[in-house]
Amino acid sequence: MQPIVDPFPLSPWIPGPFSLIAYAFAVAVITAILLFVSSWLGEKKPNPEKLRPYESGVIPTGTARLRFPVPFYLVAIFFLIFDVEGAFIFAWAVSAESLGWTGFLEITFFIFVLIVGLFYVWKKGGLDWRPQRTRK
Amino acid sequence: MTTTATLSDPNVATTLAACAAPLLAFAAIFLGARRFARLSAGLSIGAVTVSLAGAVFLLAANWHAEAPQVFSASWLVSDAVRIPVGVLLDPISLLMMTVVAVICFLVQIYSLGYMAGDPGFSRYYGFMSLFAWAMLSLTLSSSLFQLYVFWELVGLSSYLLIGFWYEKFSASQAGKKAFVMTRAGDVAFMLGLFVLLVGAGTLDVTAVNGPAAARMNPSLITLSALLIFGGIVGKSAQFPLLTWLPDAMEGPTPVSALLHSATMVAAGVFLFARLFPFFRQSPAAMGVFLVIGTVSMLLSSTMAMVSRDIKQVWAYSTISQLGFMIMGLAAGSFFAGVFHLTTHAGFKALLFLCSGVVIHALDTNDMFEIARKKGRRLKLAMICMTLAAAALAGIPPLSGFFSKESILAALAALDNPIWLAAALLGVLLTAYYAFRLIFIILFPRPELVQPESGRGHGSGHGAGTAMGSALVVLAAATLALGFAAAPLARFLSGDPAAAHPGPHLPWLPYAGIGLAAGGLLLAWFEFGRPAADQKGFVERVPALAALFANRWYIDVFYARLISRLVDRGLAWLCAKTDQRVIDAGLDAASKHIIRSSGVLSALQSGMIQHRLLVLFAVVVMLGLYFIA
Amino acid sequence: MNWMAFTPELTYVAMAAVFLGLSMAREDHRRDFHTALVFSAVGVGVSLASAGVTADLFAESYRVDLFSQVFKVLLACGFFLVVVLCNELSGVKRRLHPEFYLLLTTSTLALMLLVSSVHLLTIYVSLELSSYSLYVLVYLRKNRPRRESTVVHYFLIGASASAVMVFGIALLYGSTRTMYAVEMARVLPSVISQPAAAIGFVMTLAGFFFKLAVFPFHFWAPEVYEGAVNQLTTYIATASKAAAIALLVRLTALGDSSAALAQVLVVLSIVTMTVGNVSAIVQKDLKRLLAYSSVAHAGYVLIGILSMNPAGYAGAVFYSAALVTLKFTCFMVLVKVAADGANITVDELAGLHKRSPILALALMLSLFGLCGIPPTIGFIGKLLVFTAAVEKGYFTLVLIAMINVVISLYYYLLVLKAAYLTEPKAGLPPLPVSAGDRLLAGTLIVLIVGIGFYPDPVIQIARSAAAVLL
Repeated sequence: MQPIVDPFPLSPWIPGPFSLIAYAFAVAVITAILLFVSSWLGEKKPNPEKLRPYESGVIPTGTARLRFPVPFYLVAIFFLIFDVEGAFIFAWAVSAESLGWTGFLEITFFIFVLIVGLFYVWKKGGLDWRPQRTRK
Repeated sequence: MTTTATLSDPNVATTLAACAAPLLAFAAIFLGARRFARLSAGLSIGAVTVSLAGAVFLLAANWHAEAPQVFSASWLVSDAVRIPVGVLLDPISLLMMTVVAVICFLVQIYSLGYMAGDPGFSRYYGFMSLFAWAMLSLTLSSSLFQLYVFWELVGLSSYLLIGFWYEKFSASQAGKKAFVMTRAGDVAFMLGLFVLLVGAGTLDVTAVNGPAAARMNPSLITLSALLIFGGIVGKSAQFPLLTWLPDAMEGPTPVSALLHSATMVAAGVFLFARLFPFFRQSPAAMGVFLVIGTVSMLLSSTMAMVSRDIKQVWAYSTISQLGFMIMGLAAGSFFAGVFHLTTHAGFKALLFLCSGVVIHALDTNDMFEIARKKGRRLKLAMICMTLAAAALAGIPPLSGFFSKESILAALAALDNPIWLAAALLGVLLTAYYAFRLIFIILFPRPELVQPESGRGHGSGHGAGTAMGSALVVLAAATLALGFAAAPLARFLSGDPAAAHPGPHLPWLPYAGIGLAAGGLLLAWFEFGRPAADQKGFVERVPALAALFANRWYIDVFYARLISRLVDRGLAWLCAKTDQRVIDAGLDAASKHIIRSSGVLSALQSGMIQHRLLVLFAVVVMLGLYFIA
Repeated sequence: MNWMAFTPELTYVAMAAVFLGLSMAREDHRRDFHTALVFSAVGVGVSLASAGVTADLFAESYRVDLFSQVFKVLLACGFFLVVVLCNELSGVKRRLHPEFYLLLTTSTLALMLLVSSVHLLTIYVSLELSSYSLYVLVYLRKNRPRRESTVVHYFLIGASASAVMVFGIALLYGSTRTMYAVEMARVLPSVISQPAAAIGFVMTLAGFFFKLAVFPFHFWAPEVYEGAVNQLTTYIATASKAAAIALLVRLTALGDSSAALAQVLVVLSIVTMTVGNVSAIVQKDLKRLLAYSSVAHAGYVLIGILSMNPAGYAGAVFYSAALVTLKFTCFMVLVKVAADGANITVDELAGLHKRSPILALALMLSLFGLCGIPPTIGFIGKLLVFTAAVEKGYFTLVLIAMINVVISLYYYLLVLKAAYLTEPKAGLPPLPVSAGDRLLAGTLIVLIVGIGFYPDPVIQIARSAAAVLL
């Protein structure tokens, strides 16, 4: 590595593996000391009220490990896919004129592939968001 | 001096087809056709016919070829090391290929009759095809590495065929013995190849025989030649690894004819001939080879003099004739050794096939038993056997006479007359033991002959058409091959004069004939003439007879050696080291590894947070590494 | 624009479209299987037909060359073989079969795009497409308790790796001012000594470390292998690994001259193979065991890559082909044995040689191949990779790898012991193995042993593919 030319004469410091290791070590040690000291010195008087999860003042009910309905996840995925599609189409639209017919055909093909994908999802019941038991 | 051929060359294409056909037959038999005995035999014989046609075509096409042809492809390339596979067509490989194909073909035809009704009929033909493939490929290999691979495959098929009747305990034992003893030689062979690779940097046959060896250190040449010769000793059952061959006669008789006389055991001699120019670079090694050939030749002749089992007699004679070939080669005459190899393949296969007919008909291996059961009534077999025995003994004008004469001529050219003397003694002994067997069977002692039994054994149950035709073809070859000496010499070394190596000694042929006749007469005197008591001169000296019959106690020596040195000494030491050091160490190591495995996998199946922590920590450390 | 060069990918786009349509049509799993079979076979044909094509497409961000085409053929074959195994796809609900094939297709398509990409953004987008397909695929396993947790783990680790990778790409762009690989190959050697560039480079590789399951991005492997449908696990272990190896080779070839980079890879390689092999020993579940074995193999592949010489790259390419063959064979046996689509433990293989000899033989050969016992394709792969490393002087590394191979022998042999030496539980019938399965198993056996005996043509292909990069 190139030595960093230091405008200040007091600290002619050259980076090297030793200093990096020493630095990493120091970080680890200092973090450990801080965590340890704060937990050692800190006052600890636990009671159920204090140990309860913080839910913005609402008293939590039921288990924290509840199952989310999958459709939420699907919504997220679809959003991501079509969002990315949008990003590509915007990028194409900005320079549509200079890209000419080739660019048009390419973006058409791109959209076509996504439509086929959408059709597949539809056909497989991916868009059917009713709860399981009421599905046909 | 070699021409490089491509795949489209008719020679190469024919060669590949000739080699591949038996392999395909083998695969087909074991994959599907096994349940259909006739189909299996048909496949196998069809394949070997293709090979035979290919071999004959190649021999005819290359009869006047000037330079050897090489076709090679890369099998494995790893930067500097290139391991080629290929085909080398030169006189010796073409000749050997033809011999192998002819004998394979005849023996397979013969087996149609011999093996008929055997429950393992298909398996037999499958193994025969495997052997044909391996043996043909061995003769054509262009590199010693490839040759070694097929050498081992030939050993494997030999093992499978010796132990073919595996339900017989002695057969499976004999298979094992053959496998282990030849393996001992092969280890030396492989070491020799390593030495050669280190010294010459190549295992290519033409290179080893030519320029590469010239660059080698002479002592390295001798070392590698001796080690490679170890493989030859094992495969050709030479001294001191000669005892496996007589035991190998446990296999079906056609197998003995094919593998253990005509082709496979001759592979050792073939290897000698293949590397002949290389071996000749080391006079010291050639001297050792000469000694080993002579010793094996004489030892096995003496063993053959007392054996009562006809197949064993021919087995001993095989060892002894192989010894002759090695003597011829080691004396410096390429032609003499190879010529004897060719003629021997013919008459020895004939001998075995005739014995097969006799054994098949009379159901016994013992020659006195055969005589008692009127073996001489099997006319065709007995005529052929006598003819072949005469060739073996070196009686003119049969093939064995000519080839043995050229070996004797080669030995006569040496400075030391002892080799020639030993060979002449060998000629005498050969004639003696060969005709001992013939006379015992032909002229049974009248008082021992069984009265006529009403059973079908005897003349009516001789050789069938399949078996008979093979005998006739081989007998014709035995009669004719001797006169092919001059053209063969021209083919092998480009010089018809090579048929008569060494100085021209007019008395030598007469000495050879005279000694052979002497042996014959001695055998007649002791076994043939009506008043003979059929007891050989060796058997009158009990100690000598016991020595010969027990194979000079070579097997006993091995058994002692193995039990003393290996079982109680080395093996004990190794076992202790194994238990105390290696096993204990390994046990401890594995115990710890298994325990750490548990810990480690527990570490890796923790919570996702921890894993991610490790992940990012490693990334941070990698970053730190780069800054540093 | 040369559309011919793009036909393999277009075939898979068409296949994906067809399955999207089928997913909205009436439920018929045989129709789905046969359609997939036909399409993937066509895919293999098309990839083979376009194997020799070279082209630069899409404003030079996409390169079709011998390297990419070799891997495309490999991917197409892997995909086809996985589809063949889907004959009885009992681990997935029938009405979801079209989706299964659809996502498998998009993943393959993404991997094909990946091996041809030479622009950092194309690489990233293709990698993500393949990863996302796999995340969803893993979830499709039916009757699997806690499958959500498996997927979330997979996703989190994958997302972390992606994050690291994107950060690395940013750093790399900052120091080289380019996203094109060709440009980067020119600029990088002069800046690779700067920490920012080097860190950026290693972090960029992180995405592929994740795919290949290299330490520390390997944590997903055992769980995902265990949790996914058997056929999907096969796919993850074969095709997706091959593509990851391809990209690692392509990217490492850019930062060629960095010794520090090689050092980092050496460390990662050693840790990866050791962790993989040692952890595999105690596994009971066969798929988990194979997952750890995959981790170990990732370590071996890294050896070839970090050698940074032509032999090493060629070795890595060969190794990927070997891995596809061997792992597929293992999983084929697994799928056939676990006919109801369940996971099987090692003990459940008991007596396989009696229940189905050919499957047992295939399993044995593939495990031998994974150990690297000659004469199998796996042995040649290890040989190439190790010799490349020795050429560069990494003796210690190769020695450690050898020790690892010995350790791995232990658990592979445990599996074999179960298959060959243990008697089957009473009452287990012989496995029904159809003629097609026999043919497939036979072909794989011939491939494993045949290439082990005569590897030269494949080595030549790997070598010329790797030569394109340099």
